Amino acid sequence: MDIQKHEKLWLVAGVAFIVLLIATVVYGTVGAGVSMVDDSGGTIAPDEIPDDDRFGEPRVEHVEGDEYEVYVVSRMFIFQPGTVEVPEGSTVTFYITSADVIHGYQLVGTNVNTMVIPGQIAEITVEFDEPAEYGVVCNEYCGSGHHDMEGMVEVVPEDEWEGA
Amino acid sequence: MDGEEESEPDEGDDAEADAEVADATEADAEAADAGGDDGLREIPHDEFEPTGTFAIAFLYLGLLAALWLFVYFVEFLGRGPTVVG
Repeated sequence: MDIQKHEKLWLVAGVAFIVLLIATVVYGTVGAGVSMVDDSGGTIAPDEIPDDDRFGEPRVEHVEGDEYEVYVVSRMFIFQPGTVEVPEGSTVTFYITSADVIHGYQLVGTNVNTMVIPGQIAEITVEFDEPAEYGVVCNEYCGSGHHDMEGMVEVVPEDEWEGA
Repeated sequence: MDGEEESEPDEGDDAEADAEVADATEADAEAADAGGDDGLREIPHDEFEPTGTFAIAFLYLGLLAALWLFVYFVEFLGRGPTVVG
């Protein structure tokens, strides 16, 4: 098959571009360690939330060392707990579920973002290296008060942390 | 192109034009040099040099690649913290 020389170059450039796209995403996963939210958090029936060991009392829990777990219940139109406080240098795993409809949980301006689906537990692990304040918004329309549904994640210096 | 040229002898009685058409049908390369009455010029496959089009297409591809790198490494990976597990 006779392919015009410019077409050959263009084909090579096109394939190189596809390789570039795949390579950057592979780097993001393998090199930078970016993960996707999956179904590893498991499931929970919304009517079992009040009696659940983890979500009955939404909270921040110190596991060990730098590891923390945060149990969050989203419901129209609040997050419980509304303000999550963790120390700097911590590795925090959020377990988030919904008591009613689909919500979102996003730390504004970051890649920390997941859908919160009733019946499902979204599990995301985040490393907070420096003190900072992040606003949290619900980014899935959930009803008339959706625009007021917000929370806060405060990363405080280690000596100021007064949590569990 | 060939069809048009072959129809010329029927329309005109110019002997010179007839000769040109005869050459053109014998060898494409000669036809390219000769040129037709309608201003069309036939060139061989590999002599087609769309330099300007090629430059614009590559400029666009280069821009696309640069913007992708910016979006991925600066806008996405640069906006920590990120989900790591």
